[in-house]
Amino acid sequence: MDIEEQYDKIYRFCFYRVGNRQLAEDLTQETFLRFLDSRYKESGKQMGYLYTIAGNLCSDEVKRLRWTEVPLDENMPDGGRFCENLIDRVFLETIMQRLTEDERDLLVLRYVNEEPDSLICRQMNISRFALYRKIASIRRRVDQWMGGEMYGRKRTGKRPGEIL
Amino acid sequence: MAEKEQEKDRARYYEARESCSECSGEEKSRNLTGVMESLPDPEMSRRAYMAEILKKAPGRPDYKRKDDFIRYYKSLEYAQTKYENHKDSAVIFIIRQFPYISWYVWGITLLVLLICVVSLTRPIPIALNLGSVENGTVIAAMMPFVSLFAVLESFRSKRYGIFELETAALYSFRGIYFARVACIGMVHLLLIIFLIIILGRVPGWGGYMMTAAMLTVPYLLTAVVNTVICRSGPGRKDVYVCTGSAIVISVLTMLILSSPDISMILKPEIWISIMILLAVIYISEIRRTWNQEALSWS
Repeated sequence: MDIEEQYDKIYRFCFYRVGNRQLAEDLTQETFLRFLDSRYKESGKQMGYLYTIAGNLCSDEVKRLRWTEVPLDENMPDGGRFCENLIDRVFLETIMQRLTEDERDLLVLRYVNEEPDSLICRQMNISRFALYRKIASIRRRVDQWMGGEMYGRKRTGKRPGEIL
Repeated sequence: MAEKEQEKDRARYYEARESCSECSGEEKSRNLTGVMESLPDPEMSRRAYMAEILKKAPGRPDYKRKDDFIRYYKSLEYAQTKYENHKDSAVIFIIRQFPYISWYVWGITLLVLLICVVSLTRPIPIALNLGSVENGTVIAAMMPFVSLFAVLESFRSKRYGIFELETAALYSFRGIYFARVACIGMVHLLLIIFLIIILGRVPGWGGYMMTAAMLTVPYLLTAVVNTVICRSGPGRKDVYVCTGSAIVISVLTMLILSSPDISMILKPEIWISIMILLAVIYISEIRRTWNQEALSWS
């Protein structure tokens, strides 16, 4: 995997932790610099190592921001203004506000960065079965929160306009 | 502000949803035009939809900033790889330092060795007109000078004012210092072992342990004192202070070992205890010097 791809993945991971693009970029770059400093010896776990560094940096940053009483973006990426689409915004807001940090990480690693299950399990220190259970639980809850209709057209077979 | 907007969006969303349940067909579609435009592709699965939204939200990182950073990162990575490749193992690094050690360090070592070998055939004190002093006492009195040159050599960079240059070079000061101490230390260890084997057999010296203590105590005492002086001293002028201290220790050694009264008081256990204590102090002094670089930068 080349550094450009890794950069994007770490950026997205940081973004969902801190909810701010500028800060996410800063943290991504800091992650890579720390990674270089650590003199990592290649053992096939580079991406996991990067996620760990990024996660720690983000946690520190969130703590620091709370300490200095600088408001985070209302638990919502860029205050919700990054999404033009209304339903997307509602969906994302729900995810950001109601899911825990671990659950958000799981979604990001699985659906956004499309990391293999083995890496996610190792990263989150859970078994493969636990991972599937967690994902099913998240999806069920998101469905419930959103009323089940927002992405249910294929399931219901109804035309747009008849769905809601 | 953002909270209000979110609330408004949410309300709009639920309002649209509610209004649709009251009407049907074309009316429903018309009412929902604004909202329905934003609905995802009907063929899209829920999983794909979730992935798409989650992927879309962070957007892409600023291209220029990313590009600049990747260039910078790659240059750092390249420099680090070059450094790693260039770096030798500790043993090779120490062996490579041998040619850089000054001749006088090996000179004094060789001289002591030579005197020891000569002492096997004839008594040195008589040749040096030292009266009834034993061979071993003369050699023990020379040990401070062996130590003096070793310590001065270890701090050569400081003496010549290139200390700061070495701290910024590929091999740091602590690396160079460690290599020099290791090089000279190994040779001196061999020398002391050789001397112990030769002099320990002489009757009246209290065996090998006592000989080791008698030879090592002046050596270590000079090393400790001179390391402290060189580390905390101004630089060039340290040579004179160190030489003075070595002379004092040498004379004291000669007096103690040749005086029967003091030799009687200082029992072998005391000599050995002093030797162990000095060895511990010397190691701690080396460590403090080793850490000096980090302190100087902070």
